[in-house]
Amino acid sequence: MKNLFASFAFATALVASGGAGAQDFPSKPIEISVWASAGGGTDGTNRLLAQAMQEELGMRINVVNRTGGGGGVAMSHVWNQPHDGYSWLGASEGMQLVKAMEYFDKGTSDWRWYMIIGGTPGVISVPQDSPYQTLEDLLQAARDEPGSVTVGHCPLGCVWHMRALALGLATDADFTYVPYDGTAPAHVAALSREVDAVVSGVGEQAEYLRAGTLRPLAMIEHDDYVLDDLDPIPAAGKEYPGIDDIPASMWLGMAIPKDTDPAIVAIIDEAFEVAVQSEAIKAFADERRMIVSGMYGEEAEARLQIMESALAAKLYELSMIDKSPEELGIPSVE
Amino acid sequence: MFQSFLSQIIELATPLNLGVLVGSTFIGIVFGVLPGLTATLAVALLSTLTFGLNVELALMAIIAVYVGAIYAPSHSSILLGIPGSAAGAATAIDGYPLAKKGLGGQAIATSTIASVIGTIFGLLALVAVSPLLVSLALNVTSVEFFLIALFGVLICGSLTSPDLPIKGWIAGVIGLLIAAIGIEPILGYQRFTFGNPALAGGIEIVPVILGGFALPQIFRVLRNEHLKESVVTRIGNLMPNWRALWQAKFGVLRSGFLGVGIGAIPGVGEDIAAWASYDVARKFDRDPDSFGTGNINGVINPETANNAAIGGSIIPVLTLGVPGSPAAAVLLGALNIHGIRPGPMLPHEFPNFIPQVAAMLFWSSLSILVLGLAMARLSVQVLRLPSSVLMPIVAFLAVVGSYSLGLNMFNIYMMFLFGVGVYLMEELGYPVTPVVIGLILGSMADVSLRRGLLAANGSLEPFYTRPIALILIALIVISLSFQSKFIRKVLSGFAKDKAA
Repeated sequence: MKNLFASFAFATALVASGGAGAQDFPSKPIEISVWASAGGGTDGTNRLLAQAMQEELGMRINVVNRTGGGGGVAMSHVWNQPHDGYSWLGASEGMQLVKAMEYFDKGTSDWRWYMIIGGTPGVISVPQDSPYQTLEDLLQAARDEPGSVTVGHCPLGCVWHMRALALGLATDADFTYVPYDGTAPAHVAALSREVDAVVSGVGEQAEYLRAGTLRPLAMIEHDDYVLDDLDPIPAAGKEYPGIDDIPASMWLGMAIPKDTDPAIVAIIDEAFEVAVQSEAIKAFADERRMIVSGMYGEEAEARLQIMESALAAKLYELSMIDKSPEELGIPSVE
Repeated sequence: MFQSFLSQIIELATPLNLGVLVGSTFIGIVFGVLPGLTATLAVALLSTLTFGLNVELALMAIIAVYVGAIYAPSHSSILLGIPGSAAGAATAIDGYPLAKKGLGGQAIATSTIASVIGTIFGLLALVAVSPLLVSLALNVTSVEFFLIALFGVLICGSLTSPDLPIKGWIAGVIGLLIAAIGIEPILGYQRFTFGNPALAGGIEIVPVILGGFALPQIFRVLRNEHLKESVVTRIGNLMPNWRALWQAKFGVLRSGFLGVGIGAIPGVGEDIAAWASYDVARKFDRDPDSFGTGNINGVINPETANNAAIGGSIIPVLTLGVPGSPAAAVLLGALNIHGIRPGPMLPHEFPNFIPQVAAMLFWSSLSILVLGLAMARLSVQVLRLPSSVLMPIVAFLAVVGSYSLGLNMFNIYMMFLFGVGVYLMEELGYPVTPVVIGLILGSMADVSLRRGLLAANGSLEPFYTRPIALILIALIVISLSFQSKFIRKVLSGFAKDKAA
């Protein structure tokens, strides 16, 4: 029944029935269930990857958006399909919070991850006419009167929330963190002076920075950043190396259940290696000032496991989650 | 800007463009008419399908489907009493009684003209005053969002039950409670989720609309099958009611402004525009009590406003990169796919882009005029089907519509739950509309208030120091005093009836 509805509503949906062995993989269309809604970065990269991968695999790849539950809906859908390589998860850094937030009980160690985009630099900015000229001005104000400086960011637990938190903890500045429904509304909140500063990706802010309506104070990174012909943006990490205590970083890509048949995994690995180098993905990343990664398998898992463990530990420490990482079954940080 | 807009109208008129335009408008109207297939879904589908086309053609298709899908829910609202989407729900209140009186054809034709006027209103705003509206949008902070939501919730009080006025409020509170379900976004606390991950994201509006409007209607029609009283059989002629339109000219103007203004505020969309203009029209009408029983102004005003909101909601998409409504959010995604980065630099880097979008809106409005009137005959034919055939089809579409949203089975369960719940409520004399309004505005009111207080470090100062907040507070006070008068009038209604 499920499939009947799907094919009715979406001409692109597929009938996922009948099994097939590894030797003729893929013998039917593959479906990527993207956890985020259409139009965003996770959706966009997965659509580009699907185009590039279907050339490599010689089989149609459909992208559908299964939104809701902080990613739990898409994850449980993919997990409940046969682990035969025909059902992929369109993933992003949000997946490293799913287990800690108890949206779904299969975390980083249960999946095989494929990273298309491996991050974008974060920046803290203020509106054009803000009294704060440098990062120090802003930090001083926050230290003088704890909680008086407000910092806007994307929804609770998102990567820029984590980076803003990292900056506050590393600099000993007590900010008030104000979550918005997305990065774009957070920018508008800064423009309308509702918040004193905003933290987001430099690519997402680029149009405002170029127009001069937002003024960058510092990169929440270790290296200065040059945006087109603007003055270089200084890196906060030089003075405050503690910004890495919360190792959250943005990434976009996909995942399959880890216990998929190794022969099928090998075919997907091979196709991914080629597909991730596609011109369209490179252009997409360049335009948004993101970095193409291409990391997958054990290497990707190791990196993402550090993130999941550190985030869970930090969130527990800050009482943002109820259960400790041990109770949740998340390995502790090395 | 205006000159460039006029030249864009001519430049865009190539046979290919117009062919795509008509085809996309058709798809949009089909999506709009069918309950549960929303404008957001239509725009999302077309932005995937037009992935490979050039920017101009793709954008033309997306805008046409958007306009068509916002316009068309009025068909099913009027003829079946089941809104095709949230944006058309306000139209059902008076449109359906009109159809029952045998004036369905006239109501559809009139709503088409109102939608065309609304769309043109929106595009003129886009061309003429978009910088002004951007500064308006930038003056709307969380405090104002809260007040707007509160203002909207007050509409519940005017959508009352004939036997007990307070039933409107009770239904509204139920909606507000439903809106509280899910992970609240300020502290991440799970409210009323009972550990169920499917509830964590909150209750989606589409299954509630489908369950709340479609299922009870289906139950009623099938229950009264032998009586035939709730089924529209006569639709009258398909000529617009020009006289009513002319008499409502100031109302149309007001709804146009409301639609553009509400659309331009990021995050508030066509549905709220329609409700707000319905409420305002009712308050300004010489005979407010006739609303809900088939007053053509109850069709004209929301239909003007929801289409005017399209132009309005495109303004923040293009100039701030912030969508004004869910459908506009998908439009933003589509622009991103095509390498257009909306934002403050857009008018400088591509000075022709905004006039071009306005010209596309212009052609789309002509397209709904022609196709809308032509397809009204088709909609009417569908209604000639016996209700024992038609109603199960509507039920099927309601299931499909709920599922197609996020491809989530849970939404189907929700739809059935709400369908049965609302049916029982309506049997007890509670109106369903306030539930929907409460759900749409509840989380906005909740989150905006807390976010506003968080950003102001707990101070109430922004409420009385910000000019727009003060205006909104004044509007709320005025609106409340209007309402208490209304309630008094209803309470003393019996005495008056006897006197007359």
